[in-house]
Parts: sequence; structure tokens; C-alpha cells
Amino acid sequence: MDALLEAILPKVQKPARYTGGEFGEIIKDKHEVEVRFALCFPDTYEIGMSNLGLRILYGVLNKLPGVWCERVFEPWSDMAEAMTASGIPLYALESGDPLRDFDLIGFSVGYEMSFPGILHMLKMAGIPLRSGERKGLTPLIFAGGACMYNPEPMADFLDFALIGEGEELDAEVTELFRTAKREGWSKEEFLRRVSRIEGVYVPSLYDVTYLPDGRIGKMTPREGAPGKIRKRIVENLDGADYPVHTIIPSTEIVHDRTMLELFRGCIRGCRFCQAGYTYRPVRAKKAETLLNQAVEALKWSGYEEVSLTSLSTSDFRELGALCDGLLTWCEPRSVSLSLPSLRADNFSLELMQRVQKVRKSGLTFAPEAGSQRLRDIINKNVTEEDLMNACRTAFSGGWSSVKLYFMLGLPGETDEDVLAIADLAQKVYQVWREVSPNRSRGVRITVSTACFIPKPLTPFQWYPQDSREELVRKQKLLKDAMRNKAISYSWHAPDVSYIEAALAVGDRRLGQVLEKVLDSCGGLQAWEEYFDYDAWLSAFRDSGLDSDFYVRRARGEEEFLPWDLIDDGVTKAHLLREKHLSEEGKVSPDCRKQCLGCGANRLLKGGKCDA
Amino acid sequence: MPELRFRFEKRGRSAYLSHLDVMRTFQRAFIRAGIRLRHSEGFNPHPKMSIAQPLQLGCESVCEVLDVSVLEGPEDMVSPLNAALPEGLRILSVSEAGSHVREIAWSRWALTFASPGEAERGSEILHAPALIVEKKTKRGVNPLDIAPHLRIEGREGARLTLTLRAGEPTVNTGDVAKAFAGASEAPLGFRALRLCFLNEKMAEFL
Repeated sequence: MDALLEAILPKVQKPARYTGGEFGEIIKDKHEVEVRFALCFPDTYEIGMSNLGLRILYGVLNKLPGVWCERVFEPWSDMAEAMTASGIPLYALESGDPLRDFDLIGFSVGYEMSFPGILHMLKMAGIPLRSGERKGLTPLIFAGGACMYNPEPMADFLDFALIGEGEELDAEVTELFRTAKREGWSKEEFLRRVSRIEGVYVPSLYDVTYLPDGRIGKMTPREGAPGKIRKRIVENLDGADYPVHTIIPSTEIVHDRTMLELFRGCIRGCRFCQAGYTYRPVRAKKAETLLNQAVEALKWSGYEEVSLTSLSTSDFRELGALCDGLLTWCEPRSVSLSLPSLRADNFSLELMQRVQKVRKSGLTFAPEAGSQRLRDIINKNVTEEDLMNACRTAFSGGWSSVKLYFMLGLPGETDEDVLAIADLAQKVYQVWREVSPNRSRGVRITVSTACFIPKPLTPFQWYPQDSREELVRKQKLLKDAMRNKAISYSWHAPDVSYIEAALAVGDRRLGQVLEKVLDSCGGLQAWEEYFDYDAWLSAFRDSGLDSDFYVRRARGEEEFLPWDLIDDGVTKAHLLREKHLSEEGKVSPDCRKQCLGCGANRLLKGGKCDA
Repeated sequence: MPELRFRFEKRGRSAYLSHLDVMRTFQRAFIRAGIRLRHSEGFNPHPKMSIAQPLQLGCESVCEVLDVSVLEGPEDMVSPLNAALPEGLRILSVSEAGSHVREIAWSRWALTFASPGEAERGSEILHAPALIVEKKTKRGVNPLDIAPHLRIEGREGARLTLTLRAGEPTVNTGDVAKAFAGASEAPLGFRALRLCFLNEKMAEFL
């Protein structure tokens, strides 16, 4: 290990985040490999190592012969400062080699607020930020993940963006790069060629014109780049790589357990939910596949907990059979099973009691809105009765803690809808009083509200966000309406949500804003400690941009949106249909009851979706 | 199966694992290696295992002592365990737990400096009749003279061998670094490697 690094590691918090060397880490001989791939995550080690997608890609890429994929995370501020002071550039955990020496530098981005983190990592690596400033073939800087459904705010910095699921796409791009390196292509040549791989978006190959009022006029492809970039998916999840032999951190991470992905996509169609649309079409794994993978992963890891992940776990058809199989293996070995993402309308106490024999953790439901009227507008097809039934079952089964998640500032929301949240919480409390077998233990009802953020590729992408003042007023209204000591209330700061909205729906002019924020705040903007609202606002002002233009303006249905080049399979016609239904307060059935023709099935050979 | 004592080394990158990290890592390594540990009773059962004299972050060791209560496991436990551990943690031997870890009275260390000259300077500083350092205890920060609790065993090139009191009071290499910082204008950096534990009679603790 580098002597400079050895000198600073004992002085920083949790140095094990910066050393690598964990069980399951992949080490290759760098003299034998042809392509050096840095898989980067613009947040801390603890967050990044909890990301299943990153682990999948690490496995997939390291399976390619001659390719060595390593990990790079964003250091916490103390480490970043110490590295800068000692002149240590950002390095990869496996080899300790500087990031700037890598060929392919790919970021996995799941949260808009980590955009400055990408720039911070490039800066720490000594790599020029703007794509245009990097003339050679390497390093190539790109990104994938949930935030790349609108890559435009990062357009100035990324050489390309990968749209959709990475298992096949990342490998194809890596292979094309291998050829480019062997044959000595220029960067321009590589970008032209890579833009022809389905799912690859090369921002520099599109010219953007703006209307006098600031809206986008059009985005025109050059040099044979496609007019639409269609997202990539893995068709058969049973055959897809699942990281059984994955890295097991020695130091604690956020999700320190085996994560088992049941299915991708969601049958529900909540109109605010980006994942619910962009992860389509629904593709499930077989219970048998999952059981084998879980057992192998648990044996490999030594973990004592397995968590079932998906957007809506209780919609998994074989959930009962899977849990039976898992419990048969887990119970004698004291391995616990956790089931997040349950819905109130198909909550099964029997299932919960079976999986939570060891620990009775709290239950969480997300009605999202307080009134039925507003739940219909957002198409959250959960009724008050569903919620009360679920709570009744849970409380009579001995649970005494429930969390309820809501959003404030949803389109069409009135003060009555806000106050309905308080009513709902009070009704949950009444249910507890009626049915709890042990009232002396008390009950904890936690109400949390997030602020509505319009997200690309959802039926609500055209809506503005409520003003900060309005959101603060609604939070106070709700807080004052909940006086019961058993009910506690927590809320997301509207400041962060405002900036998040600007980045979510932003265009490539936001590049200057991100650079200015990097200069004034550094990275780690997803962390309250470092998020600086005023610095963001001045960065917008100093760039000659109006943040309200992005956040507070209703986009027109005919308007060209910054992400209109991105095709996630769901048609704009479907999004508009859903938007119009919401305006009439009408719900749409879930995909199992009736196919609404969203279009995502076209991504599958044969066009049959597994909803 | 009885109480077992695993001797292990902690070297290289694993020197930056905290005591809790090491405990967690061993707990999982035992599961991977197919070794079942006895668990404590109670609401939140945890495996019975303990590590004597936890190392400070950044220090290496070739003499760590891990006592565990094993319920069942394979004949050879060392090789499956070593296959299940991260880089730098390695089991050296396993035996029935012998003397109680309370009998550990001293620990022996090799400090490696950047140059023989620096090692000599370090040795000179430590030869002072009194070495007062600030020591943090539960009762607050108090001055402690570590000179009576420290023996210089010798110097070989850039390497200085010391014996430090382990017990009442415990002197660690961080205190030695503080003594250097208090007596030297230029910083004296070193890498610390724990070589062995000794009992009150200065015999190796086994």
C-alpha cells in the first residue's frame, strides 16, 4: 500500500471503506488484462456496496476474459480533504491504481443529487470534467442507472450514457472498446460506433436548439446517431447473472444482507412513480431459481438475513412457495427473512408471522395520499378499507408500530387532502385501540411525507412542483392537525426536493450549474451535512438560468422535453392517456386485471409481458 | 467441543478493520467455513467469541488471540476458515484455550521507521527517565508517565523492538507516538507490528 495513504488512513473515519481487500473481491494480474474498467458509485462505500445493480455488473464485467472491473466510491469529506492535502488522486479499491489510468470509467447513478458527486470524483482523479476537454480514446466517462432516463443535465460531462439494464449492454460496450483499443481508434470514431449499439446515448452527437422562451426547440442527431435511444432490458431473468459470489464487506454497510431480486417491473402504474414505468415490462424469476440463488448466496456470504427486493413484493405470484422454501432452509440456520415493499391491499398476516418469527420489525405502508380522491388521481389503488384491514390484522397479531408514507404537493392536492392524512393516521390509531391485545405497550404510528417531484417518463412529468412556501405551509398544516402523542410526523426538506426536481427534469444547460456547485460545495450533495440550498440557487443565477423555469413551470403536452429522445418502451401516448385520466380523477386497473397497452411489451421478443 | 483458541494475524489492508469489523468478519467466516458457534441466550443471541487486547486501527499483528465456543465443525478448521477470510486476516493455529487472557501482562512490538536514523532517534527519546503522555480514560484525560511501563528490547536497522504494559495501565503504540510527538520537532512515523503477548513472568502467553 502507498506510504502516503498509510499515513492518512488511521486519521480518517472508518478507514476500512478505503482499503478494499474484502472477501470476494476480484484481483487480476493487471499486466495480463486488456481493458481496465472502473465501476464508480457517486456516493459513499456504505451506500454503493448496498446497491445490487453494482454487484451484478461487477460480476458480469469480471467474467469477461481480459477485462478487470474494479470499484471506486466517493470518499467522505475527511478522507477527500486528507487525500487532496497529501496529493493522493482518487484510486480504485482493488488495485489501488489511480482512476485516471483506467480505460472505461462508468458511474452507476440512482439519485440526481449525486450528480455533483460524479464531478467531484473526476476532479479528485485529476480528470478533466467536460467530455470535450478529454481528447484521447481513454479514459471514457459514462453513466448508467435510474437517473439516466434523463441524462441531459450530465450531457457536457459524459461521453455517453447507457439506458436501461446493464447486464448485456455494458458487456457489449466493453467489447467494442476492446476492439477500439486494439485497432487504435480515435475517440470520435469510438463514439460514432458506440452510438449505434442499442441503448447507448452519445450527447455530443445531438445538436440542441432553444426557443426564445427557453424551451427546447429540437434535438437533432448527427453522424448517424439514432433519433430515439431505446432502453435495453434482460429478457430472461432466470438466465441472467445473479451475483452469488459477491463481495462481502468487512465493515458495516447500509444493506448488510443477501438481496434477492424477485422480479423487475411493476403491475401497478402509480402515476408519479418513475421506477414503476421505466422498469417495465414485468419479468419475474422462477421461485426455484430464486431459492437456489438465495441458498448459494447465503452459504457464500455468511449473512444471517435475506431480503426480498422488488418494487412491490406482494405482487410476486409465487411468494408463498418461495417463502416456504426459504424458511425451510433458513429457520434451522437462524437466518431471518425480510419482506419490504408490501402493499396494504394484499397484506397477509400469516406470511408476516411466518417470516418474522425471530424479530417483529415495524410495518410500513405507503398510501401516498390521505384522501381517496387524491389516491385515485395518482392511481394508487389502495383504499382506506385496505389499509385499515391490514392494520387491524397487524395490530391484532401483536404488532405495535406502523409507518405510513405520503407525498405532499401532488397534482390536484387541496388542504382537505392534506388534512385527510391526519384523519387516516387517527383512524389507524383507533383501530389499534379496538383490536390490540396488549394496550399497555402503546403504539407508535409514524407519518412521513416526501415532496412530490415530477419525474421523466411518468404521466406526471408535465406537472410543476409546489412552491417551497406552499410545501412548508402544508407540512405545518399537517403537523398542527396531528396532536395525538402516539403519532409522530417527519418530513423531507422542500429545499432538497426543489433541487432534485430541477435536476430530474433539467436539460444540458444545467452543466454549468453543476460545475459551480462542485466549486462551492464539493460532492456529497445527497447528504444533509453538505447540501447547500443557497449555493445551488446562486449557481443557477450565476449561470443565467431560472430554476423556477424547471421546477415551477407546467410543461406543455406538445413541448419537446429534454428526455424525449429516450424510449423506455412506454409510449408517450400512454403517459398522456394516464395524465388525462388523472385529471378526471379516474383510476386505471393494474396490468393483471387488464392490459392498458403501455407499449413496454414491445421490448420483448414475442411481445408478451409477464404481468 | 471445548473452548478453542485461534491465533491469527492481521496484516496489510486488514490493519484498517476496526475491532467490531473483525468480530463481524469472523462471525461470517465461521458460517462460511461450516463451523457452528455456541450462541448467548436471550432476546438477541450472538455468538460467543472474544478477541484479547483489540488492536488500534492501522496496527498489524502476528499474534492475535480469538477465543470461541464451538458447537460443531470439521476436523480441520484452519483451512476452511482461511479460505473464508478477507485479505490480511489469516489463522495461524488452533488449540484448546489455555491460560485465561487476563494473564496477558505485556505485549511485544516491532516498530519500523522510515530509516535507521529515525529508529535511533525514537530509541533515544524513549530512554528518557519520564515520558508523560495524555491518556484518555473513562474518568477523563489524565497525564501518565509511560516510562515505567515500557522496555526497549533493541534496535536493528530501522526496526525498534519494544515491550509495553498490557493491563493496568495499558500502554499502546499510540501512546508511544504521543511521546515522540512531545519530544521531537520533526514527526517520527512508524508502522507497528504486534509480535507476541507475555505474562507477568515475561514468558510468552499461549
